[in-house]
Amino acid sequence: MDSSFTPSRLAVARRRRGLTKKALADVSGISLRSLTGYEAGAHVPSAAHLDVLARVLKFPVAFFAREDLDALRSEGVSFRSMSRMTAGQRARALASGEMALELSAWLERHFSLPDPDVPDLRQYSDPEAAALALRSRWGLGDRPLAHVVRLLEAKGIRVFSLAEEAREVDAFSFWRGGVPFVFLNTGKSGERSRFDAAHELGHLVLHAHGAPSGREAEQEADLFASSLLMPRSSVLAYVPRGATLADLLARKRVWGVSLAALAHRAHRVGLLSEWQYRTLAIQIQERGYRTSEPDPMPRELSQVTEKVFSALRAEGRNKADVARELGWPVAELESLVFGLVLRAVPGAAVDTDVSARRSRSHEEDAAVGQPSLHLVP
Amino acid sequence: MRVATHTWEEPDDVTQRLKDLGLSKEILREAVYAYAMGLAAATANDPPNAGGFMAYVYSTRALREMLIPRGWRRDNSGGYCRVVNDAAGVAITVSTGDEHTGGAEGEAPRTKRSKGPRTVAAVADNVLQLSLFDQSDHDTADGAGDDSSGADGCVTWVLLMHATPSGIQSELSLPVELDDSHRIGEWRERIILPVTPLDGPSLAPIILPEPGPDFDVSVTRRTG
Repeated sequence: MDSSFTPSRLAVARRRRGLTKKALADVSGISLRSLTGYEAGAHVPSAAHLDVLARVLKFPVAFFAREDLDALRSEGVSFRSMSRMTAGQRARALASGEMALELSAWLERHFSLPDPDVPDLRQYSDPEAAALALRSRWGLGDRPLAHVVRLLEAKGIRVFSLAEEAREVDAFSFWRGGVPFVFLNTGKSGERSRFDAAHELGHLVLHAHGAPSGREAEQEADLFASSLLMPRSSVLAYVPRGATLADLLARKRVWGVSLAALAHRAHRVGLLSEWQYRTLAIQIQERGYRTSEPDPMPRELSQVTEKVFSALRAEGRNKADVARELGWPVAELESLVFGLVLRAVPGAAVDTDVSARRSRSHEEDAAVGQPSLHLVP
Repeated sequence: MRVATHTWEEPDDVTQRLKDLGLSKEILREAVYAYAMGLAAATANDPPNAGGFMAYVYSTRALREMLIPRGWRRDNSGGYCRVVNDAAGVAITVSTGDEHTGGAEGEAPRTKRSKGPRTVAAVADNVLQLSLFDQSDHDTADGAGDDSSGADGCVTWVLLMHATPSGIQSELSLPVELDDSHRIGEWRERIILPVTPLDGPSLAPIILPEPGPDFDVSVTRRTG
């Protein structure tokens, strides 16, 4: 038993369940003193206690036996609404991040993923200029972004989902070993989630290594996200001056943003006067559009996840097998990979039949945006 | 009574005259924008003329929201909606004007609809106020009013607005005479405002950009 208990894993599992040590003591019937000792590595739980903890925390016993998880400290992590989060919510989200690091390491062992191409843009004092520079570097012009999560993944950012019930936890991001990570709450609207992804990208390029934090950094990341999703020139070209709610509704899908975000941007680029913007903001509020986005767009999912699990399925393996290999509950895996929603959508379907691929021309492949997944037997 | 109309149209003159009244082009432009927004807010399911009514509501609200923080007050006496600057003896109401609105040349504009008894009274007040000023050698109406003489000692200006497909024509004008159908048709002063261009709402077709490039993420199974 001695060699098969890793103290930090108990802390991670406990935080994932949003429990304090005291709360865990209450539900498990194990004394606070013992629990503190287990997490500090001073004592090793008996097999009976380990069984109880595994049952109460809904983690397999095997989880507690594996090596230490990479620890994440909140200082290195950009939380969107730090001030509104409780310590428990933060701890729970960080524990998610620590588990994602383990999943990411697993993915990289078995699959080759894009190398990160995320520049350091701290030299730009203006987030709008930084967004333009990034668009230029990535060859995006000023066209709307078709799919933010796919863009991030194609540039080597690892994107995971957060199935947090706490609305305060929008999203967060961090760098680890030269690899950028972004976490998105799946409880948000599709539009809001795209904005969150762009906001976190802003932190990654603007605040990579200890730049401003707190409110100032959040405002910079917001402006970055707004500018990246809705380039000034594009908004000026397609949104009428003095736009009404109906005008914005008819256009918001172009940029894949919320009505509120488009109104804000239109005001910022000078298409709406102060009074007009205020009036629209009130209308958006009154109609409940802030909590329930009108004409909503579908949520963006991770393409890496879709391809990986399709490939595994072709080998006769499923998410339960992966969870078992990691010593995780299946639900924890699902919560990080966008619920593993595998849908037959164009460009996302994985064709693993090599002969079928050969029968098509490269041009056809390019035309339908066929994913470049290659199974190596 | 026929009076000579003083028309201000040179940008610098307009700016100065508005400043005398405690106003600016920017403040009035908010009301004009709001007028356009109101026109555009109406849908086919609204009662007829809802757009005109909403334009009146929105522009009145915008004007008041801009001016009340600057020391003006709202006044709805007798259902006549004005925003009033007691210190300067100036009040403003908004109205839709005909196609001559905002044009320095040609005919003087008229309000689009007949005005009710309160407007008649306000115009009469203006005549009274202005005649008092004339007697004391004032040639403009922005001086302090005499509270005992008019209803509230203020002269009431009208922000006239007229929508065309290319924009909103507008002017801030001081009425002194109603015509036989009780439409305001004679002005002591007219301050011509720049046309507020609109490429908005129902006025422009929706042209949308091409969608941007999508990305395909390369994911390759490692051997072994």
